[in-house]
Amino acid sequence: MCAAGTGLGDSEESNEDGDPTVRDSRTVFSSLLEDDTEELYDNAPCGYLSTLMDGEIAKVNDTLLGWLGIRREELVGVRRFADLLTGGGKLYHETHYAPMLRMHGQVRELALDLVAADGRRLPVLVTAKVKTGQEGQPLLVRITVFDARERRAYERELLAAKRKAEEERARLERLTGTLQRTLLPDALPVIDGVDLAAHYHVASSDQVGGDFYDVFPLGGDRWGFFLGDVCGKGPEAAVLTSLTRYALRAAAVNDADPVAVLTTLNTVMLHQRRPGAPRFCTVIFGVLEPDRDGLTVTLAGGGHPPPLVLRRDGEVSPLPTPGGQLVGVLPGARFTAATTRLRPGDVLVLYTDGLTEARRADGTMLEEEGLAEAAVAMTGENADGVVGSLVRLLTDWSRSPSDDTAILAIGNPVTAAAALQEAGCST
Amino acid sequence: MTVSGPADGRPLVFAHGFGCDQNMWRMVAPAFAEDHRVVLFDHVGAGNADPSAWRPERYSSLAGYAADVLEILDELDLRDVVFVGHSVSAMIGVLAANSDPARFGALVLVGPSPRYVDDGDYRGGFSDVDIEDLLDSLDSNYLGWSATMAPAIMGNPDRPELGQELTESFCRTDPDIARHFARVTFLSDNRDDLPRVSVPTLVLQCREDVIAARAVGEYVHRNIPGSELVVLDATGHCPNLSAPEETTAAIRAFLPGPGSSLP
Amino acid sequence: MLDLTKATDGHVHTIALTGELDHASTPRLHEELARLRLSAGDRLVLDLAELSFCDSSGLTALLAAHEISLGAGAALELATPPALLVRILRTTGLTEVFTVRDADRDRARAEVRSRR
Repeated sequence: MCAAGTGLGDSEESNEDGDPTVRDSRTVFSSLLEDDTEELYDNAPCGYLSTLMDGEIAKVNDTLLGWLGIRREELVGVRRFADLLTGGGKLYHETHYAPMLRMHGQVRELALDLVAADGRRLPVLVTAKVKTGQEGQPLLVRITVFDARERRAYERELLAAKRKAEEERARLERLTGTLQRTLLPDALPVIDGVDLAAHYHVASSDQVGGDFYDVFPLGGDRWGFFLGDVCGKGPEAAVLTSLTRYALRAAAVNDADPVAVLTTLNTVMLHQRRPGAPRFCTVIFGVLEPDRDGLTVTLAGGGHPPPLVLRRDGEVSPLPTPGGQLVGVLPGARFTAATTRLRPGDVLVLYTDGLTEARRADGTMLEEEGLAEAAVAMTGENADGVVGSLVRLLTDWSRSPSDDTAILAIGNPVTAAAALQEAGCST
Repeated sequence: MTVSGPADGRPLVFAHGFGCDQNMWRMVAPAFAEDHRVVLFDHVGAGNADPSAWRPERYSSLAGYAADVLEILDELDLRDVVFVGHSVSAMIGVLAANSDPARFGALVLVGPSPRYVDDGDYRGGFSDVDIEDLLDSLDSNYLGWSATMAPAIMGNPDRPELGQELTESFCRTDPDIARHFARVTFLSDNRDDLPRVSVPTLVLQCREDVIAARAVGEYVHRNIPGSELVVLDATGHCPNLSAPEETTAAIRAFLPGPGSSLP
Repeated sequence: MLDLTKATDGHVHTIALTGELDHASTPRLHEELARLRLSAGDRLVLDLAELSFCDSSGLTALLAAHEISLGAGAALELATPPALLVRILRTTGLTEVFTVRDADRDRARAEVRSRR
């Protein structure tokens, strides 16, 4: 369509010269000379039209008339450019094309469909430019129309491929999300005398994170909890997390002593090891025992950053488990236990290094010291409040945290009775 | 959001239509900033508005966009607001004014249409097929958008003109949100909301407008009690761009002049 | 980004790490370790002076180096680890697993440079 009627091939000039080669080149040359601008305009290999600022068609070339199957007098002074478009094209014209032309003075390569006299749709690319007068006032619009059937067919394929890729990605994200949920508790349990809150952030939506936590009953008003971080990311991390979670829960049923539980986990993981590809986790496992006026926490650390204890009176201190080693690579790994007592208003915070390794744009890291410092302002809040403040701290430091982060806060709530007692009343 | 003009001026809130952003008003709004508190904003997904604020549930109907308008009025604590809505924002204004009439002093509806698709005797001017066609157009041109805009966004040192174009560009819309917005805009039916309008209303209708035909403007005028209809000599759907002086004058004439009491 | 520079001088094998040892770059160190031919009595020195970042994935490579050395009867030394790594080793209870040498810094680097 576009190549037809260029004027060059249509020439049937004859020449008296006998040599066919010479005759041909002369014919071409003379037809080029005769290819005046009027001729070129009308038979150009693309459609041309000019409209007034309101879109009324003032001039149109033969090529476009031929494509549309419409006579010049049916268009010029009678119809507007938008009248040549499909219904949807008219909407697009008025909402995008016309405003853009007014503001920018031009539009480039807009994909539109023209409707020919016989109802056929002609996919075209439209470029338009406003001609302005000497004072910059808009006078008219010059429009070129290129045949875009093949390009549009190709673009449609591209678009379909893009949609498919997006769907696949969404599917992967759903799958990852489902897998992730199986690695975390649906909801934290509700325990009398214990105040719990947690936060979990996965840095990427298509990879399962390596952080985990859980709180679960041990029977006899005792509760087990853990929080940790397996090395790596993705499917391998998911397998390791799953193994770690179930090993910890199963070990605790047998003997809930935190050191014994971590020792069992270490043994289980060593059995699963592959030479040359060490896989490990760092974890804190502990037991909660609420009683009448507080909460006793016994925990053991396996190579994990020490939890922070936020005392209601404003004191913040880590609860170290010195010498505790990471779990899963060292036969006979050493774990040590620590105990603390949470009184009403105290909160114990376990976290993974995504929190302390939060980096500002300038590269400075929050680190354990920065965390402990910031936590002073969070003392006196309940578990939920502390987690909320920590999440704000994290996002303050790094707008889109690049590392997975898990936070578990365990508090002893301030009950009405405790508050009364403090106020000096007896209950 | 852009706020200009005297803080004690009567608030004049301009809302852009589908396909563009607040730049749509740049030839009209400045004329009012002398004596009005002029507020310009971008709907979610357009211009500089944060696209991450977009939620499919909230913006599945024009009510979500109307709720955004009310939030802006709340945030700026504006009262006796004159809301000037172009195209789909005319109906967004109607919904907002109906749900909290106390905030509004007047509505100016530029090229309004309560329903774009024909329905029985009602002629909106379009068919369902036309709307699907528009969505196709958006898709086709989205590819073009990606091609010309993406390099500019990612920084393309060897083609500096792209960056320039981006900073000067207007009517930037997020393609996915635009697709939803198109559907919500052109498939909504707000005919029943018109009789409930209780604030003074001006309908600005272009002499010829493919999107909102004159009959549609007249329909809006007939159905909003006590409304005023002004037919502009301008043609097309965007008199705010093609005939800014005429549009400005018509809004001025509708608003009480300096010294006169409020309606 | 991680640069690895290797040098072998008799029984001393040195790998100098420059840059970040993370999820993306760790496989390269694993490959390098797998290629080593260690004999009993050899020393494997990981020069960490120019290491700017190390995460849990990076730690797996250091543990792999430990395992490989142990298996071959060679000795592994971590030379001049940055503060960040020292903290990780301390937290994970690995300071007593690895032999950490700060004093070797200059010699280790000189060895590497002379081989470049």
